[in-house]
Amino acid sequence: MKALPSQPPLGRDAARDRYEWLADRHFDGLLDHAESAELGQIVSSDEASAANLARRAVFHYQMRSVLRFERDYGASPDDGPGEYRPTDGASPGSWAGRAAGILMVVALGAAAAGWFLPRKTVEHERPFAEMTAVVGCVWSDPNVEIALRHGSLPPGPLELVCGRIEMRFASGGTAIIEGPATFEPIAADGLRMFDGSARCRCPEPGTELRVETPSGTIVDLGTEFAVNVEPGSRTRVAVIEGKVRLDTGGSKKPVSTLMEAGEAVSVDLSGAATADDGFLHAAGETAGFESFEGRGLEAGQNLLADSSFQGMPSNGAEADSAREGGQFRLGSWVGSASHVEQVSSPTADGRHAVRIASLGNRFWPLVGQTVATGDICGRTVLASVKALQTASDPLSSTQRVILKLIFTDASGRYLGQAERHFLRAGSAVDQFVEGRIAAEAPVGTVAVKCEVLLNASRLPTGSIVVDAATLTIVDH
Amino acid sequence: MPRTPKPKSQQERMLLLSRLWTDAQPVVAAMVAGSVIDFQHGEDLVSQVAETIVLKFDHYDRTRPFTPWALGIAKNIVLRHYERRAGDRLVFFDEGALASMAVAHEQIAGEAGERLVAIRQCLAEIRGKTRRVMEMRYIDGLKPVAIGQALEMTSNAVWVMLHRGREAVSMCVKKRLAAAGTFR
Repeated sequence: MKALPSQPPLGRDAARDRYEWLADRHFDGLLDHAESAELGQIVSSDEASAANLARRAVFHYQMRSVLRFERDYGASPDDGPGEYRPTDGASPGSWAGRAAGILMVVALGAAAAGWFLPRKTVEHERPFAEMTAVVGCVWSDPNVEIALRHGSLPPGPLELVCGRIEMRFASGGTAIIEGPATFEPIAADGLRMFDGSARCRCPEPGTELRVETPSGTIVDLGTEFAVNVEPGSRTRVAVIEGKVRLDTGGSKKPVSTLMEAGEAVSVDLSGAATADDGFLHAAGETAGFESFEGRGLEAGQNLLADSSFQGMPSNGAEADSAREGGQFRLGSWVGSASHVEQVSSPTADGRHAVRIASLGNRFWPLVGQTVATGDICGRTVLASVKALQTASDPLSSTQRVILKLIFTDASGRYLGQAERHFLRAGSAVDQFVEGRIAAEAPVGTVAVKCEVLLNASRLPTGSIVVDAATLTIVDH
Repeated sequence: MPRTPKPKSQQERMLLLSRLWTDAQPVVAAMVAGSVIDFQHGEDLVSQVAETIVLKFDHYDRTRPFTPWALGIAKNIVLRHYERRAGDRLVFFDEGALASMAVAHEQIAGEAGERLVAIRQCLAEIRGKTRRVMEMRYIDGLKPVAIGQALEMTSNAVWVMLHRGREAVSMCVKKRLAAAGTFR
């Protein structure tokens, strides 16, 4: 992939050109630290530039507001083939223009007023499939990522461009889908694969997961198998453990075949199956469920300072400043003001832990720590943490705990991330549960931020206790 | 500037606060969005500004305009955010630059209203891939590199498409506001 231009264009007014170049990139997050500081110097010393940048900020904010408004209120224009087509729409002074403006301002104002008040608890129906982990995922429609992160399941086929996602179905089955892939969770025990690879597992007896493909349906009978769909051609199935049932031939000539561990077949669109040892070998080589959690890897030294939250908090006397955007500090740990506190009970490891509470006003209160790692390109980073929800203030709705790794380069630029979602509403209470995530550090990684977030959903209740955090680089 | 009457009851207080914040919120949010590039962080910070305004509303001097007071609170909250992020090297402006931006936003606060309607009309004219790229950038907060990966384009091509889309909207807005006699 080509890099963005690293130098501003030459022009007659070099200073003005430089400002324009910096300002253009500022709003897309493309400036490094030194360039941002340079832009800051310009706006500090030149009122006209400050006003210009403020107008640009308003423009960007309004673009964002309008686009979001149209998405939320379903007012998007039809998707057409053209790029930019002037029309004769209502002018700002016309009745239609004013009406549209009034409606939008009312809606935006209502949204703004909503900032003041904690949301009441709204019980969302849990979807039949949920994201449990992601590593480096890019979706063709980014709304998919947002919906999954909030605990929802977008309708229709989902197109994963790259990366890996682990999804847990209500039936108890789990699937890892690796991009590029197109798939659709269709039921509490059903996944439809249109294209690409998936690995499915039903770890508990009595759990079941069906995978529908153009060539037939694979029914997991308490086992683990890999499937690869080549659209318009064939479906390949390999059984890693246990047994699966392969149903082909459709409703007219149904044929069921029982497959056992170590067997692999390739099924064409007519349902004809042939042995496919090559896929069995390939499936054995690909990353399985353990890779998401780094199980079986030899982890190195814990890089987190004060992994058991034993230090002395420094926010005790800063309650007022905390309300103005202050922060919780505990040694190297930094957390969301007011939402995070050190507690002495319960703990999983030592005398202290931290509690993260949903207070109705934040989406993602968190505690985190940044670790300078040096160049760790290509090495596996493994993080783990233990979290508990109490019976007295349990999680509800789509609330959950998220363990997150963020990789950054020497300029502090974001390179990639990985997340593990665990401990949801309905999970065990008063009992520590471990969450683990493993991911390969992208090229250029010199620092890793390890965060534990409460997906609070701005609900007024729900809290977690966090303890025994680790961040390690897996030894080669 | 006429003095804002002192509310008599808690309900009146909340209604007054709601009215004042509804006017100030777009200005404050734009200032925060221009200073904190990550949209999610920006939203969280605006939420913190609103929370602080509720807590401090009794300290607001009603003889003075509300928006600059809210911008001052926003500036302090963004500064604290920068302090927290200093170790990550993800900060942008220093205190001086942020103060200049707060003043600039205060000065242009009156310009935004008419433009909002025009932006909506002009955005309706952006379609196809350009529209999709702009939605990915503005709704989902994706950087050009991530958009490029999703759409199989180079990040440079994404940025050029974004730039041209914004230019098209900007020119269209100017044209519409000029036609309506409200262009500044």
